Amino acid sequence: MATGRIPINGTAAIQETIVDAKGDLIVGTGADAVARLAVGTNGHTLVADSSVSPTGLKWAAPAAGGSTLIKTATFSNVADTGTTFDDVFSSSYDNYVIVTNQWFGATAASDPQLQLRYAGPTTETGTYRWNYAENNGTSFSFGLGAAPQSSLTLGSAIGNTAGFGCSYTINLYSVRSTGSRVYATFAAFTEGEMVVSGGGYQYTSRTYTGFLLKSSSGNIYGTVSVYGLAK
Amino acid sequence: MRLDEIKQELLTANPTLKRGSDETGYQDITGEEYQATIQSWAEAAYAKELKAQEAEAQAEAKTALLDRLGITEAEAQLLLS
Repeated sequence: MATGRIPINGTAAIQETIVDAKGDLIVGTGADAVARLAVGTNGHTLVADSSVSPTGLKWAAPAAGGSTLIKTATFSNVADTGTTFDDVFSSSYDNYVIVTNQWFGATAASDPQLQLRYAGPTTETGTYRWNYAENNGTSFSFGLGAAPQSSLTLGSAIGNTAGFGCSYTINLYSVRSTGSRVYATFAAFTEGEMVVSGGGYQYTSRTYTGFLLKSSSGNIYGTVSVYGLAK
Repeated sequence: MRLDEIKQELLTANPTLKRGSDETGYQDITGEEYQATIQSWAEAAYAKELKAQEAEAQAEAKTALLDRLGITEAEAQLLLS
């Protein structure tokens, strides 16, 4: 402005020189007093904090919320995913979601399976239990692994056609807690118009750090993502 | 198909095995671990085959029983309801 002032109520004014850069804010610091608050880091949001002098405001990273993508990986013609998903579980999250995008196998009628891993590359090959129901629109079937199993079985038919495999959402709870079981719930739509839902658990308490995917018989293919859920 | 026949089929179809992903690379599975993986796959496939045979036999027995009684499955369900 020609006067170098920003008029307020037609009488008082704040000098334009108070701001120095794009994004600067003019904030109140008390009765009849203002100050400049420099723009924050890209992506940060303004947060009220009365302990911050003189403005009572600060820029801060938004609080984490929802889910955070930890890793996505694609595999083709493998017996299992090996070290791919090692160290995806950390102290940042307690609960995780695994999303499989058209996971399929070499043998349609084989079972999609998950095993937890710990201390990096060690696979837990015992003490899983699970239960699932499958519905193909005309009939129901059930699967039960009541005695300790070597893996968490997620259904009975992984499918064997690219683009028509199984799309699972697998929720894993308390994977790093040494004081509780690791519970899992899962749901999928699979080749053959099959709807699967079920759950299970791993009852050897450990600080699990990752997982692998496999089939009960034959190689597997697919793309899988793992997300951490905000605490 | 017998267990050893299923195993032989798997050995022929999978002369080599690997694990991993595009992101971490692929590693060969060899030696005893290769043999153990094929054995595990064969046993799982064999168990499925036995289960399917059992289900088929049960279905055939049910059909035969309904025929002998001269009623349909829906009528049998009505009797049990």
